[in-house]
Amino acid sequence: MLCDNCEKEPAKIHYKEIKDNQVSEFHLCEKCAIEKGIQVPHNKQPFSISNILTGMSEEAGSDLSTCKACGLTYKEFRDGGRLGCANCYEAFKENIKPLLRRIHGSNVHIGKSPRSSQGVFEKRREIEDLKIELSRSIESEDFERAAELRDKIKELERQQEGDQ
Amino acid sequence: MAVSTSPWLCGEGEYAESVISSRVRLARNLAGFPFAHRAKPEELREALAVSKKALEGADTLKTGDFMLMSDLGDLDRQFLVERHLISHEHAEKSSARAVVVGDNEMLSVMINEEDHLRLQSIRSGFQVMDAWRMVDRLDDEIDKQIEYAFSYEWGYLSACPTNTGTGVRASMLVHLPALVHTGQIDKVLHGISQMGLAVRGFYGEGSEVMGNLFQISNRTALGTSEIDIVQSLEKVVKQVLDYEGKAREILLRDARSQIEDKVWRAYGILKYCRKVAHREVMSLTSAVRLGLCLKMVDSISVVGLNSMVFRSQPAHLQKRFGRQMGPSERDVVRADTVRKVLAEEEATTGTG
Repeated sequence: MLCDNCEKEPAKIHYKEIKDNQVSEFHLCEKCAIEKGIQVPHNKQPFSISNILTGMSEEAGSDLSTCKACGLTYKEFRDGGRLGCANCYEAFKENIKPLLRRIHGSNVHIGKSPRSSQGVFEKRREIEDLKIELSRSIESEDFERAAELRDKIKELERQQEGDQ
Repeated sequence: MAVSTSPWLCGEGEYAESVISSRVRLARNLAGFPFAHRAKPEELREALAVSKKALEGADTLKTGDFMLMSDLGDLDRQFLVERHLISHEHAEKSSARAVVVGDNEMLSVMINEEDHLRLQSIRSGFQVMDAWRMVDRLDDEIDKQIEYAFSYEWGYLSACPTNTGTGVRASMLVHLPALVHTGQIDKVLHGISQMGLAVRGFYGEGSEVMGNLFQISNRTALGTSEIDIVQSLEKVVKQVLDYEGKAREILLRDARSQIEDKVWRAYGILKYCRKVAHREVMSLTSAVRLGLCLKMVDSISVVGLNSMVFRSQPAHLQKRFGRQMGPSERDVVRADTVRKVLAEEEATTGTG
Protein backbone atom coordinates (compact mmCIF):
# COMPACT_ATOMS: atom_id res chain seq x y z
CA MET A 1 0.00 0.00 0.00
CA LEU A 2 1.35 3.41 -0.95
CA CYS A 3 1.16 6.59 1.08
CA ASP A 4 -2.15 8.46 0.56
CA ASN A 5 -0.29 11.74 0.47
CA CYS A 6 2.83 11.39 -1.69
CA GLU A 7 1.77 8.14 -3.39
CA LYS A 8 5.43 7.18 -3.65
CA GLU A 9 6.61 5.73 -0.36
CA PRO A 10 5.00 2.65 1.23
CA ALA A 11 2.40 3.56 3.85
CA LYS A 12 3.62 2.72 7.33
CA ILE A 13 1.41 4.82 9.55
CA HIS A 14 -2.24 3.84 9.62
CA TYR A 15 -4.62 5.89 11.63
CA LYS A 16 -8.23 6.85 11.97
CA GLU A 17 -9.56 10.30 12.51
CA ILE A 18 -12.99 10.87 13.99
CA LYS A 19 -14.41 14.25 13.08
CA ASP A 20 -18.08 15.22 13.32
CA ASN A 21 -18.98 11.57 13.84
CA GLN A 22 -17.31 10.63 10.56
CA VAL A 23 -14.45 8.17 10.68
CA SER A 24 -11.79 8.67 8.04
CA GLU A 25 -8.87 6.33 7.59
CA PHE A 26 -5.41 7.45 6.53
CA HIS A 27 -2.38 5.52 5.38
CA LEU A 28 0.80 7.55 5.25
CA CYS A 29 4.51 7.04 4.93
CA GLU A 30 6.60 8.10 7.92
CA LYS A 31 7.82 11.28 6.27
CA CYS A 32 4.33 12.54 5.35
CA ALA A 33 3.00 11.54 8.78
CA ILE A 34 5.66 13.63 10.50
CA GLU A 35 4.97 16.54 8.13
CA LYS A 36 1.30 16.36 9.04
CA GLY A 37 2.26 16.54 12.69
CA ILE A 38 1.13 13.03 13.55
CA GLN A 39 3.03 11.41 16.35
CA VAL A 40 4.88 8.47 14.92
CA PRO A 41 4.83 5.59 17.39
CA HIS A 42 8.10 3.88 18.10
CA ASN A 43 8.22 0.14 17.72
CA LYS A 44 10.87 -0.05 20.38
CA GLN A 45 10.06 0.00 24.07
CA PRO A 46 8.06 3.12 24.76
CA PHE A 47 9.60 3.33 28.22
CA SER A 48 13.32 3.53 27.75
CA ILE A 49 15.79 3.38 30.59
CA SER A 50 18.39 5.16 28.51
CA ASN A 51 16.06 8.13 28.22
CA ILE A 52 15.62 8.32 31.95
CA LEU A 53 19.32 7.85 32.52
CA THR A 54 20.25 10.59 30.10
CA GLY A 55 17.68 12.80 31.76
CA MET A 56 19.21 12.32 35.17
CA SER A 57 21.98 14.54 36.38
CA GLU A 58 25.01 12.38 36.82
CA GLU A 59 27.92 12.80 39.09
CA ALA A 60 31.03 13.52 37.09
CA GLY A 61 33.17 10.45 36.56
CA SER A 62 30.46 7.84 37.22
CA ASP A 63 30.57 6.89 33.55
CA LEU A 64 34.00 5.44 34.12
CA SER A 65 33.11 3.16 36.99
CA THR A 66 33.14 -0.54 36.13
CA CYS A 67 31.55 -3.63 37.60
CA LYS A 68 34.40 -5.88 38.74
CA ALA A 69 32.36 -9.05 38.32
CA CYS A 70 31.26 -8.72 34.70
CA GLY A 71 33.27 -5.77 33.40
CA LEU A 72 30.26 -3.67 32.39
CA THR A 73 30.98 0.06 32.54
CA TYR A 74 28.42 2.53 33.78
CA LYS A 75 28.50 4.15 30.37
CA GLU A 76 27.53 0.85 28.73
CA PHE A 77 24.61 0.61 31.13
CA ARG A 78 23.59 4.18 30.32
CA ASP A 79 23.67 3.43 26.61
CA GLY A 80 22.07 -0.01 26.65
CA GLY A 81 19.75 0.23 29.64
CA ARG A 82 20.64 -3.29 30.81
CA LEU A 83 22.83 -4.27 33.76
CA GLY A 84 25.37 -7.02 33.25
CA CYS A 85 25.01 -9.07 36.43
CA ALA A 86 23.69 -9.02 39.98
CA ASN A 87 26.90 -7.41 41.19
CA CYS A 88 26.36 -4.38 38.91
CA TYR A 89 23.68 -3.31 41.38
CA GLU A 90 26.41 -3.09 44.07
CA ALA A 91 29.00 -1.58 41.75
CA PHE A 92 26.74 1.25 40.59
CA LYS A 93 24.77 1.47 43.81
CA GLU A 94 24.96 5.25 44.14
CA ASN A 95 23.46 5.69 40.67
CA ILE A 96 21.05 2.78 40.82
CA LYS A 97 19.40 3.92 44.02
CA PRO A 98 17.94 7.17 42.64
CA LEU A 99 17.22 5.44 39.34
CA LEU A 100 15.07 2.77 40.99
CA ARG A 101 13.26 5.43 42.94
CA ARG A 102 12.65 7.30 39.73
CA ILE A 103 11.27 4.26 37.93
CA HIS A 104 9.26 2.66 40.73
CA GLY A 105 8.60 5.51 43.11
CA SER A 106 10.42 3.47 45.74
CA ASN A 107 13.74 1.78 46.25
CA VAL A 108 12.92 -0.68 48.99
CA HIS A 109 11.69 -4.15 48.15
CA ILE A 110 8.48 -5.28 49.77
CA GLY A 111 7.20 -8.68 48.79
CA LYS A 112 8.32 -12.25 48.61
CA SER A 113 11.87 -13.35 49.13
CA PRO A 114 13.72 -16.52 48.22
CA ARG A 115 13.85 -19.42 50.63
CA SER A 116 17.60 -18.86 51.15
CA SER A 117 17.02 -15.41 52.57
CA GLN A 118 13.97 -16.20 54.63
CA GLY A 119 14.25 -15.62 58.31
CA VAL A 120 16.89 -12.97 57.77
CA PHE A 121 14.64 -11.04 55.45
CA GLU A 122 11.54 -11.48 57.53
CA LYS A 123 13.39 -10.38 60.65
CA ARG A 124 14.65 -7.27 58.91
CA ARG A 125 11.11 -6.40 57.84
CA GLU A 126 9.87 -6.97 61.35
CA ILE A 127 12.53 -4.63 62.73
CA GLU A 128 11.60 -1.97 60.21
CA ASP A 129 7.91 -2.27 61.07
CA LEU A 130 8.70 -2.02 64.76
CA LYS A 131 10.82 1.08 64.15
CA ILE A 132 7.91 2.74 62.41
CA GLU A 133 5.65 1.83 65.32
CA LEU A 134 8.29 3.13 67.73
CA SER A 135 8.42 6.55 66.12
CA ARG A 136 4.63 6.66 66.11
CA SER A 137 4.41 5.85 69.80
CA ILE A 138 7.02 8.52 70.57
CA GLU A 139 4.98 11.03 68.58
CA SER A 140 1.86 10.11 70.51
CA GLU A 141 3.90 10.25 73.75
CA ASP A 142 3.14 6.65 74.62
CA PHE A 143 6.54 6.17 76.23
CA GLU A 144 5.69 2.93 77.94
CA ARG A 145 4.94 1.31 74.57
CA ALA A 146 8.02 3.01 73.10
CA ALA A 147 10.27 1.45 75.71
CA GLU A 148 8.78 -1.97 75.04
CA LEU A 149 9.33 -1.56 71.33
CA ARG A 150 12.89 -0.32 71.80
CA ASP A 151 13.75 -3.43 73.80
CA LYS A 152 12.14 -5.69 71.26
CA ILE A 153 14.05 -4.05 68.41
CA LYS A 154 17.32 -4.39 70.33
CA GLU A 155 16.63 -8.06 70.95
CA LEU A 156 15.84 -8.72 67.29
CA GLU A 157 18.91 -6.84 66.13
CA ARG A 158 21.06 -8.87 68.48
CA GLN A 159 19.56 -12.08 67.06
CA GLN A 160 20.17 -10.84 63.53
CA GLU A 161 23.84 -10.19 64.26
CA GLY A 162 24.04 -13.70 65.66
CA ASP A 163 22.57 -15.12 62.43
CA GLN A 164 25.01 -13.40 60.13
CA MET B 1 1.00 -28.70 21.00
CA ALA B 2 -2.26 -28.91 19.12
CA VAL B 3 -3.35 -26.16 16.77
CA SER B 4 -6.53 -25.76 18.74
CA THR B 5 -7.45 -22.83 20.90
CA SER B 6 -5.24 -22.38 23.93
CA PRO B 7 -6.89 -23.92 27.01
CA TRP B 8 -6.63 -20.59 28.79
CA LEU B 9 -9.11 -19.18 26.27
CA CYS B 10 -11.88 -21.44 27.47
CA GLY B 11 -14.11 -18.52 28.37
CA GLU B 12 -14.04 -19.44 32.07
CA GLY B 13 -13.73 -16.95 34.86
CA GLU B 14 -15.57 -13.81 35.82
CA TYR B 15 -16.24 -11.17 33.14
CA ALA B 16 -14.99 -13.65 30.52
CA GLU B 17 -16.98 -11.96 27.75
CA SER B 18 -14.94 -8.77 28.26
CA VAL B 19 -11.73 -9.98 29.88
CA ILE B 20 -10.08 -12.38 27.45
CA SER B 21 -7.23 -13.43 29.70
CA SER B 22 -5.23 -12.71 32.84
CA ARG B 23 -1.49 -13.15 33.00
CA VAL B 24 1.26 -12.85 35.60
CA ARG B 25 4.93 -13.15 34.80
CA LEU B 26 7.93 -13.21 37.10
CA ALA B 27 11.44 -12.15 36.12
CA ARG B 28 14.13 -14.21 37.87
CA ASN B 29 17.88 -14.61 37.50
CA LEU B 30 20.33 -17.21 38.72
CA ALA B 31 22.84 -16.06 41.33
CA GLY B 32 26.44 -16.33 40.19
CA PHE B 33 25.81 -15.95 36.45
CA PRO B 34 26.03 -12.79 34.34
CA PHE B 35 22.62 -11.78 32.95
CA ALA B 36 21.77 -13.44 29.63
CA HIS B 37 22.81 -10.58 27.32
CA ARG B 38 26.20 -10.30 29.06
CA ALA B 39 26.93 -14.02 29.44
CA LYS B 40 29.54 -15.80 27.33
CA PRO B 41 28.19 -18.69 25.22
CA GLU B 42 29.41 -21.32 27.69
CA GLU B 43 27.93 -19.40 30.64
CA LEU B 44 24.64 -19.14 28.81
CA ARG B 45 24.67 -22.89 28.14
CA GLU B 46 25.41 -23.58 31.79
CA ALA B 47 22.61 -21.25 32.92
CA LEU B 48 20.30 -23.13 30.56
CA ALA B 49 21.34 -26.50 31.99
CA VAL B 50 20.88 -25.33 35.59
CA SER B 51 17.48 -23.84 34.79
CA LYS B 52 16.33 -26.91 32.89
CA LYS B 53 17.22 -29.17 35.79
CA ALA B 54 15.41 -26.94 38.27
CA LEU B 55 12.28 -26.89 36.11
CA GLU B 56 12.35 -30.68 35.77
CA GLY B 57 12.31 -30.85 39.53
CA ALA B 58 9.36 -28.47 39.85
CA ASP B 59 6.18 -30.46 40.47
CA THR B 60 3.83 -28.17 38.59
CA LEU B 61 5.97 -28.16 35.45
CA LYS B 62 7.86 -31.45 35.37
CA THR B 63 5.62 -33.00 32.73
CA GLY B 64 5.91 -29.90 30.54
CA ASP B 65 7.39 -29.70 27.04
CA PHE B 66 10.98 -28.51 26.91
CA MET B 67 11.78 -26.85 23.59
CA LEU B 68 15.19 -25.54 22.59
CA MET B 69 14.77 -22.49 20.39
CA SER B 70 17.55 -23.74 18.11
CA ASP B 71 15.48 -26.87 17.39
CA LEU B 72 12.50 -24.85 16.22
CA GLY B 73 11.96 -23.43 12.76
CA ASP B 74 10.66 -19.93 12.07
CA LEU B 75 7.07 -21.09 11.81
CA ASP B 76 7.10 -22.91 15.16
CA ARG B 77 8.62 -19.90 16.86
CA GLN B 78 6.02 -17.60 15.38
CA PHE B 79 3.38 -20.07 16.52
CA LEU B 80 4.63 -19.81 20.11
CA VAL B 81 4.58 -16.01 19.89
CA GLU B 82 0.98 -16.12 18.69
CA ARG B 83 0.08 -18.34 21.64
CA HIS B 84 1.64 -15.76 23.96
CA LEU B 85 4.15 -18.33 25.19
CA ILE B 86 7.31 -16.56 24.06
CA SER B 87 8.22 -12.97 23.22
CA HIS B 88 9.24 -11.67 19.81
CA GLU B 89 12.76 -11.16 21.19
CA HIS B 90 12.94 -14.76 22.35
CA ALA B 91 11.80 -15.97 18.93
CA GLU B 92 14.58 -14.04 17.23
CA LYS B 93 17.50 -15.40 19.24
CA SER B 94 18.37 -19.05 19.30
CA SER B 95 21.59 -20.20 20.95
CA ALA B 96 21.14 -21.66 24.45
CA ARG B 97 17.59 -20.39 24.68
CA ALA B 98 14.54 -22.44 25.46
CA VAL B 99 10.93 -22.50 26.54
CA VAL B 100 9.15 -24.96 28.79
CA VAL B 101 5.40 -25.20 28.35
CA GLY B 102 3.19 -26.82 30.98
CA ASP B 103 0.50 -29.39 30.19
CA ASN B 104 -2.33 -26.98 29.50
CA GLU B 105 -0.21 -23.96 28.52
CA MET B 106 -1.31 -22.14 31.67
CA LEU B 107 2.24 -22.23 32.99
CA SER B 108 5.35 -21.64 30.92
CA VAL B 109 8.92 -20.52 31.38
CA MET B 110 11.27 -18.80 28.94
CA ILE B 111 14.91 -19.60 29.65
CA ASN B 112 17.63 -17.05 28.84
CA GLU B 113 15.37 -14.35 27.52
CA GLU B 114 16.26 -10.94 28.96
CA ASP B 115 16.40 -12.66 32.34
CA HIS B 116 17.52 -16.25 32.93
CA LEU B 117 13.99 -17.23 33.84
CA ARG B 118 10.70 -15.67 32.87
CA LEU B 119 7.89 -17.54 34.57
CA GLN B 120 4.41 -17.02 33.23
CA SER B 121 0.91 -18.05 34.10
CA ILE B 122 -2.08 -17.30 31.88
CA ARG B 123 -5.71 -17.89 32.79
CA SER B 124 -8.97 -17.26 31.01
CA GLY B 125 -11.12 -14.31 32.08
CA PHE B 126 -10.71 -12.20 35.20
CA GLN B 127 -8.49 -14.60 37.13
CA VAL B 128 -5.34 -12.65 37.72
CA MET B 129 -5.15 -13.66 41.40
CA ASP B 130 -5.31 -17.33 40.41
CA ALA B 131 -2.63 -16.70 37.82
CA TRP B 132 -0.47 -15.13 40.55
CA ARG B 133 -1.01 -18.12 42.87
CA MET B 134 0.00 -20.57 40.14
CA VAL B 135 3.16 -18.73 39.19
CA ASP B 136 4.00 -18.07 42.86
CA ARG B 137 3.87 -21.79 43.53
CA LEU B 138 6.06 -22.60 40.55
CA ASP B 139 8.49 -19.94 41.74
CA ASP B 140 8.66 -21.60 45.19
CA GLU B 141 9.32 -24.97 43.59
CA ILE B 142 12.17 -23.58 41.51
CA ASP B 143 13.54 -21.66 44.48
CA LYS B 144 14.00 -24.93 46.37
CA GLN B 145 16.56 -26.04 43.81
CA ILE B 146 18.51 -23.00 42.74
CA GLU B 147 19.69 -19.74 44.19
CA TYR B 148 18.11 -16.63 42.73
CA ALA B 149 19.91 -13.30 42.31
CA PHE B 150 18.36 -11.33 45.16
CA SER B 151 19.15 -8.29 47.28
CA TYR B 152 17.63 -7.59 50.68
CA GLU B 153 17.23 -4.00 49.70
CA TRP B 154 16.00 -4.28 46.12
CA GLY B 155 14.48 -7.72 45.85
CA TYR B 156 14.89 -9.95 42.78
CA LEU B 157 17.58 -8.44 40.59
CA SER B 158 16.79 -8.14 36.92
CA ALA B 159 18.76 -7.22 33.81
CA CYS B 160 16.48 -4.24 33.34
CA PRO B 161 15.94 -2.09 36.45
CA THR B 162 12.25 -1.68 35.55
CA ASN B 163 11.70 -5.32 36.55
CA THR B 164 13.81 -5.33 39.69
CA GLY B 165 11.92 -5.81 42.95
CA THR B 166 9.12 -8.33 42.76
CA GLY B 167 9.81 -9.04 39.08
CA VAL B 168 6.05 -9.10 38.65
CA ARG B 169 4.13 -8.00 35.65
CA ALA B 170 0.44 -8.71 36.00
CA SER B 171 -1.85 -7.95 33.09
CA MET B 172 -5.33 -8.46 31.74
CA LEU B 173 -6.44 -8.39 28.11
CA VAL B 174 -9.65 -6.40 28.08
CA HIS B 175 -12.19 -5.77 25.31
CA LEU B 176 -13.37 -2.14 25.34
CA PRO B 177 -15.39 -1.51 22.17
CA ALA B 178 -17.98 0.86 23.63
CA LEU B 179 -15.33 3.16 25.11
CA VAL B 180 -13.71 3.27 21.68
CA HIS B 181 -17.00 3.90 19.81
CA THR B 182 -18.10 6.62 22.19
CA GLY B 183 -14.70 8.31 21.94
CA GLN B 184 -13.97 8.03 25.65
CA ILE B 185 -11.11 5.58 25.38
CA ASP B 186 -8.30 8.16 25.39
CA LYS B 187 -9.61 9.67 28.58
CA VAL B 188 -9.82 6.25 30.22
CA LEU B 189 -6.35 5.21 29.02
CA HIS B 190 -4.97 8.48 30.33
CA GLY B 191 -6.60 7.78 33.68
CA ILE B 192 -5.11 4.28 33.75
CA SER B 193 -1.62 5.62 33.13
CA GLN B 194 -2.07 8.22 35.85
CA MET B 195 -2.82 5.41 38.26
CA GLY B 196 0.59 3.95 37.52
CA LEU B 197 -0.53 1.25 35.13
CA ALA B 198 0.44 0.73 31.51
CA VAL B 199 -1.67 -0.09 28.46
CA ARG B 200 -0.33 -2.17 25.59
CA GLY B 201 -1.61 -3.95 22.51
CA PHE B 202 -2.61 -7.51 21.73
CA TYR B 203 0.88 -9.02 21.74
CA GLY B 204 2.12 -7.08 24.77
CA GLU B 205 5.05 -4.71 24.88
CA GLY B 206 5.57 -2.66 21.74
CA SER B 207 2.54 -4.13 19.98
CA GLU B 208 -0.45 -2.28 18.67
CA VAL B 209 -4.05 -2.41 19.70
CA MET B 210 -6.22 -4.61 17.47
CA GLY B 211 -9.89 -5.49 17.75
CA ASN B 212 -10.40 -3.07 20.67
CA LEU B 213 -8.35 -5.36 22.90
CA PHE B 214 -6.20 -3.55 25.44
CA GLN B 215 -3.63 -5.11 27.72
CA ILE B 216 -3.62 -3.34 31.06
CA SER B 217 -0.67 -4.04 33.37
CA ASN B 218 1.33 -2.73 36.31
CA ARG B 219 4.27 -0.51 35.43
CA THR B 220 6.29 -0.64 38.62
CA ALA B 221 7.60 -3.69 40.42
CA LEU B 222 9.48 -2.35 43.45
CA GLY B 223 8.10 -1.06 46.73
CA THR B 224 4.75 -2.86 46.46
CA SER B 225 4.00 -6.46 47.38
CA GLU B 226 2.91 -8.94 44.72
CA ILE B 227 -0.58 -9.19 46.18
CA ASP B 228 -0.91 -5.40 46.20
CA ILE B 229 0.17 -5.24 42.56
CA VAL B 230 -2.42 -7.85 41.60
CA GLN B 231 -5.17 -6.27 43.69
CA SER B 232 -4.63 -2.80 42.36
CA LEU B 233 -4.76 -4.19 38.81
CA GLU B 234 -8.03 -5.93 39.69
CA LYS B 235 -9.42 -2.72 41.06
CA VAL B 236 -8.48 -0.64 38.04
CA VAL B 237 -9.76 -3.23 35.55
CA LYS B 238 -13.07 -3.46 37.41
CA GLN B 239 -13.35 0.30 37.25
CA VAL B 240 -12.58 0.27 33.52
CA LEU B 241 -15.18 -2.46 32.96
CA ASP B 242 -17.66 -0.31 34.82
CA TYR B 243 -16.95 2.61 32.46
CA GLU B 244 -17.24 0.23 29.52
CA GLY B 245 -20.61 -0.94 30.84
CA LYS B 246 -21.86 2.62 31.09
CA ALA B 247 -20.65 3.37 27.57
CA ARG B 248 -22.53 0.28 26.33
CA GLU B 249 -25.71 1.59 27.95
CA ILE B 250 -25.22 4.88 26.13
CA LEU B 251 -24.71 3.07 22.83
CA LEU B 252 -27.88 1.04 23.37
CA ARG B 253 -29.84 4.13 24.26
CA ASP B 254 -28.60 6.48 21.55
CA ALA B 255 -27.42 4.31 18.71
CA ARG B 256 -29.04 0.92 19.00
CA SER B 257 -29.82 0.50 15.32
CA GLN B 258 -26.33 1.58 14.26
CA ILE B 259 -24.73 -0.88 16.66
CA GLU B 260 -27.08 -3.66 15.63
CA ASP B 261 -26.25 -2.97 12.01
CA LYS B 262 -22.51 -2.99 12.72
CA VAL B 263 -22.76 -6.24 14.69
CA TRP B 264 -24.77 -8.07 12.06
CA ARG B 265 -22.73 -6.80 9.14
CA ALA B 266 -19.64 -8.10 10.92
CA TYR B 267 -21.43 -11.40 11.56
CA GLY B 268 -22.37 -11.60 7.91
CA ILE B 269 -18.81 -11.07 6.73
CA LEU B 270 -17.48 -13.72 9.13
CA LYS B 271 -20.14 -16.10 7.89
CA TYR B 272 -19.69 -15.57 4.17
CA CYS B 273 -16.20 -14.18 3.58
CA ARG B 274 -13.90 -15.91 1.11
CA LYS B 275 -10.74 -13.90 1.83
CA VAL B 276 -9.99 -12.08 5.04
CA ALA B 277 -6.96 -10.52 6.76
CA HIS B 278 -6.16 -11.21 10.41
CA ARG B 279 -6.60 -7.59 11.35
CA GLU B 280 -10.07 -7.67 9.84
CA VAL B 281 -10.99 -10.80 11.79
CA MET B 282 -9.90 -8.99 14.95
CA SER B 283 -12.14 -6.08 14.15
CA LEU B 284 -15.13 -8.20 13.03
CA THR B 285 -14.96 -10.47 16.06
CA SER B 286 -14.80 -7.36 18.23
CA ALA B 287 -18.12 -6.17 16.80
CA VAL B 288 -19.74 -9.60 17.21
CA ARG B 289 -18.36 -9.90 20.76
CA LEU B 290 -20.03 -6.60 21.56
CA GLY B 291 -23.25 -7.92 20.01
CA LEU B 292 -22.97 -11.02 22.19
CA CYS B 293 -22.52 -8.91 25.34
CA LEU B 294 -25.49 -6.73 24.38
CA LYS B 295 -27.59 -9.85 23.78
CA MET B 296 -28.10 -9.02 20.11
CA VAL B 297 -26.39 -12.24 19.03
CA ASP B 298 -26.77 -15.66 20.63
CA SER B 299 -25.58 -18.00 17.92
CA ILE B 300 -21.90 -17.80 18.85
CA SER B 301 -20.09 -18.16 22.16
CA VAL B 302 -17.15 -16.32 23.70
CA VAL B 303 -15.08 -19.45 23.15
CA GLY B 304 -16.03 -19.46 19.47
CA LEU B 305 -14.91 -15.87 19.07
CA ASN B 306 -11.65 -16.50 20.97
CA SER B 307 -11.09 -19.49 18.75
CA MET B 308 -11.55 -17.43 15.57
CA VAL B 309 -9.09 -14.81 16.78
CA PHE B 310 -6.45 -17.36 17.67
CA ARG B 311 -6.82 -19.83 14.86
CA SER B 312 -6.74 -17.16 12.20
CA GLN B 313 -3.28 -15.93 13.17
CA PRO B 314 -0.71 -16.48 10.38
CA ALA B 315 1.46 -19.16 12.01
CA HIS B 316 -1.60 -20.99 13.37
CA LEU B 317 -3.02 -21.29 9.85
CA GLN B 318 0.26 -22.45 8.39
CA LYS B 319 0.81 -24.98 11.16
CA ARG B 320 -2.65 -26.41 10.67
CA PHE B 321 -2.18 -26.82 6.94
CA GLY B 322 1.38 -27.98 7.46
CA ARG B 323 3.07 -25.63 5.03
CA GLN B 324 4.32 -22.12 4.41
CA MET B 325 1.76 -19.82 2.77
CA GLY B 326 1.93 -16.31 1.41
CA PRO B 327 -0.38 -13.59 2.76
CA SER B 328 -2.88 -13.95 -0.07
CA GLU B 329 -3.27 -17.72 0.34
CA ARG B 330 -3.50 -17.27 4.11
CA ASP B 331 -6.38 -14.86 3.66
CA VAL B 332 -8.27 -17.55 1.76
CA VAL B 333 -7.69 -20.36 4.29
CA ARG B 334 -8.38 -17.90 7.10
CA ALA B 335 -11.81 -17.19 5.61
CA ASP B 336 -12.44 -20.96 5.41
CA THR B 337 -11.38 -21.39 9.04
CA VAL B 338 -13.54 -18.54 10.29
CA ARG B 339 -16.61 -19.77 8.38
CA LYS B 340 -16.10 -23.27 9.69
CA VAL B 341 -15.85 -22.13 13.31
CA LEU B 342 -18.99 -20.04 12.89
CA ALA B 343 -20.90 -22.92 11.25
CA GLU B 344 -19.92 -25.22 14.13
CA GLU B 345 -21.02 -22.63 16.65
CA GLU B 346 -24.36 -22.21 14.91
CA ALA B 347 -24.84 -25.97 14.83
CA THR B 348 -24.14 -26.18 18.58
CA THR B 349 -26.47 -23.35 19.49
CA GLY B 350 -29.12 -24.53 17.05
CA THR B 351 -29.35 -21.17 15.33
CA GLY B 352 -28.01 -19.59 12.19
